[in-house]
Amino acid sequence: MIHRLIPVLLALVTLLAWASPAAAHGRDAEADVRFAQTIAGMELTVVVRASLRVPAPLQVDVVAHDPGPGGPVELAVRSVEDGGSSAASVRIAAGRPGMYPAVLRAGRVGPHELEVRAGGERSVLPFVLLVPRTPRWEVVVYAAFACGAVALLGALASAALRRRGAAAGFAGTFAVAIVVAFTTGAVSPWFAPEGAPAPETLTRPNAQPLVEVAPERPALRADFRLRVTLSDGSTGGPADDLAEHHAALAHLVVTSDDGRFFRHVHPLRTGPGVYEVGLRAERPGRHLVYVEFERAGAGGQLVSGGFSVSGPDDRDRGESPATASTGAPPVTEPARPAAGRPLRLTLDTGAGALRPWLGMAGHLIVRSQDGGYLGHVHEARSMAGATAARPPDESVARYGPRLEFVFSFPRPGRYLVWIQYARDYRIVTVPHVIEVAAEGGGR
Amino acid sequence: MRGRRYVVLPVLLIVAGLVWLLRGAPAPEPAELHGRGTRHAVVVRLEPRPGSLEARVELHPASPAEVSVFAVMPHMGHTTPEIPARPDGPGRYVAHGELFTMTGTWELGVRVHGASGTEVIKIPTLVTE
Repeated sequence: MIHRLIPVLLALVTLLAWASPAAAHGRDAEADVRFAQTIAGMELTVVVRASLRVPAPLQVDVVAHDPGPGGPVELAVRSVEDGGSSAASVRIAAGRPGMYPAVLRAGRVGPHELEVRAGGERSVLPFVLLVPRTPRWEVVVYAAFACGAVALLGALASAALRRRGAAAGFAGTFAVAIVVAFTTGAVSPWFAPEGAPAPETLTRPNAQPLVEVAPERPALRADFRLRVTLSDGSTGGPADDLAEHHAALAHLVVTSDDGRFFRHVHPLRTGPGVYEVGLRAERPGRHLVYVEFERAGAGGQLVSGGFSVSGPDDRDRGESPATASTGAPPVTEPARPAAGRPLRLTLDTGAGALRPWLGMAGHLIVRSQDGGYLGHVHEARSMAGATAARPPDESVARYGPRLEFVFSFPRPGRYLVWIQYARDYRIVTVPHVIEVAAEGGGR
Repeated sequence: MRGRRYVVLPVLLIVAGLVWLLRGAPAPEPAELHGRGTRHAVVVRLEPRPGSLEARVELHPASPAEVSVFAVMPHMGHTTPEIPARPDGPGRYVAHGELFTMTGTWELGVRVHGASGTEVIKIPTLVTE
């Protein structure tokens, strides 16, 4: 019996050790692709739903967090390999945040481009279309169980017909099939493809920004365009390998020096390594620009720059940062935070059905008064759920009413913070100021 | 009689298998974690699992100090608040609270604030269910 099993097991190990296709970076085939986009005055998240097979209809949902003036949004998916494309459009209604579904068509797997057009603006977003593939070991287990079932029926039939030889043969086959099925199942963990890339593969050069505004010095209460061009620090070429990072290719935070102007937007990819967004100047003076992104196969990066808005200086209109605050202010614990010590920041939003935005129940943006530090903290309770294979999406309203952030301020001083969360799809921004004492002075 | 034996044995085997399956995973063993800073060495005893837990800290040398524990998950960019530990005999401290919010690789931080100054001793900890 053992002699009979050895060749079977050897063949099985060879079959399973066969290199299985690698999954795309940081994403498995069952995960949706998300691109937050600030386009034509709207804050949208375009979600390309995971496909089970190709060719098949491709579900694309446009989540309007801030519908702004509304209007049609044209979507097109194009395969980079064979150029096959399909298009659809949704009409966003002004003042109606929510989910707007569209159905396109997926012809094949591989690299694709999603084109989003609205109000004369256009963004081309690269992504890889994947379909889940059954692991080889699973196929072997199912096939072995099927063989075992057939052999068992054969053995029973042979026994009923008093065919001793045939019954013994079927019984042997049944035993072998069952042993193969269980052995494969037991050794499958060694053949499972690895999810996250190994740390040693996280090597990409830095990317450096060129921050420009058009016109060069925007006027107060006038529209302007902000463009960030990313160049590779080693080759000088465009850094055009950004991966989906917290549901966007790039997160752009623009704040005025005094913190009364704050925007967290998602620029459009208008060319290789070129990211653009349209904004409206509301405060005069110096503005700070931060871009957070992740290059494929590398860790997150933060680059910064700045520009100035012309206009009369009117700093005397109050101290606190901009954006009207509603509800109770956030509570810090300890009440007098010290640098380098974890601080718990709790916000009671007063609403029990908060939806995730950019994959999390809440975001905390922290800027030091001088602008030298910018932090991005995620809501503590939703972190564990976000690592699940399929984290809840924007359609699931289950967070709140309390949002909790834990953070250690790196240095003493004054920090401007903004808490952002989504209520009925709409993004709410709560500004706050935290004074941080030197370590030891906090107690 | 003989026929019954053929039935009883497989049934017992199946029941044993079911019991083994339903018994579930064994509870995590209390781990003994060792860390060393410039002034102190610490031994922390806790069950490394998410949720509320008890951490027993042993300080060497046993000088009077304020001790608190917290944790950082570097891969996720996650910090948990400091939990102050109360004295429990010379050089011994106990902290109660939620230290880890999810499974994975964490860095347990023990902050020791003594007469000679403050230091934070970091100990890598693997947190499982």
